[in-house]
Amino acid sequence: MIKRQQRIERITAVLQEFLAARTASELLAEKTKANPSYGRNDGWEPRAGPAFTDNLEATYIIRIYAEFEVALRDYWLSYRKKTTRPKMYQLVNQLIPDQGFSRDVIDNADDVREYRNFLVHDIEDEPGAGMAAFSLKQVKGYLCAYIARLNAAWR
Amino acid sequence: MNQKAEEFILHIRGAARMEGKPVVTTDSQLINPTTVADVLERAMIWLTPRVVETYDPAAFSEWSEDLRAELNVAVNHFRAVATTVAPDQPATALQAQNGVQAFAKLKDAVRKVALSEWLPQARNLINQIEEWAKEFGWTTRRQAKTMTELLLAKYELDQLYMFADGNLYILDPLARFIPGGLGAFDLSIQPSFYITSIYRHADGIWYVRLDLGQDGVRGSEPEPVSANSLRRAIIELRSLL
Repeated sequence: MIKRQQRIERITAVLQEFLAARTASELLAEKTKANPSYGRNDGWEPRAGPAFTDNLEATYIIRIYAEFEVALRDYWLSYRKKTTRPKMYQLVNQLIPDQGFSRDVIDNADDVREYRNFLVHDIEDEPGAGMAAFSLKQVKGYLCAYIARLNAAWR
Repeated sequence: MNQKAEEFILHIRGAARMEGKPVVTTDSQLINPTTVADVLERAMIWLTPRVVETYDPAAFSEWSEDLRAELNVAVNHFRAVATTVAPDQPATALQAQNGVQAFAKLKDAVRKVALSEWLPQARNLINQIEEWAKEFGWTTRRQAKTMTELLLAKYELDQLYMFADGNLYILDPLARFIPGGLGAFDLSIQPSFYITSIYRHADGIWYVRLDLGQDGVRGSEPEPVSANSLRRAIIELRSLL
């Protein structure tokens, strides 16, 4: 399998994990409703349960983005044969795209990058002049659409 | 395509991108409320006369009189509305309402301007490649494709299917807005992951990327689209299978 497809499959697998985790959080909510101290035997306090549910999607957005970043950095190193480590803003917007990318695909991925930085309070890049919020499915769709435009000769 | 006209169109597309971004709303504990406040303040950032400051009516002299007049009215109206917003204050509800309406008219006018230039160019390329394909003795078929792009919304172009020497090749419209060009198509061999780009450079000439099999260091070489370069691209795509 070519690397491009491998990376897309890894991102798809993270989305599947999220769906499983969401089901698990629903089951956990039932348990903690019946017994608020349900987690104490495993070392977690009652407030950790709702926090787990609240932060679940954001956590997986950060994970999916991490897969995307690894993919782009690998493309930069192993396909483009570059030894530099540019900021993700530069990679996503300037260094990787060529005329085979639509601006919409680039912009969507960049919006996800900005949103991910917002989630982790990352100050590596300057925030843009606006910010969109995304569901995990949107994030997966936008990042996979970007990866799908990378050269198939990347192996 | 006039460079100033393209610059203005891209400027309006950029503003449309800002406008289209939904406001962050979440109760997640990971969200920093200070950052949320900043986002809210930036929500109407596109409502400023700067959005139309690159507008030069002379840059649109190649367009029809009707379109130029519509664009001119829309630009002037937007500028008039945007000028009422103090640069250091958020827009009032009335200013925001007027701004949204004025910007909708501006986007519509720019959409018509951009499509009136892009669609004939894209269709000419499809027609030309179909003609060459027939000269080569290939069988062709067209399939309508609905495109969706920011600023241009939905529009339709044909995909061109070409059956050549036992293989299927597809000329597939990608987008009008691309980095470093004025529109692109994918040319692929099916079934496979291999694609090359046919794109329109700022000089208005269509190029096709050749030398597809090489690594990513040098980058594939663009050549002006011709019957000869089309045939080479087809041969190179087939060699990758």
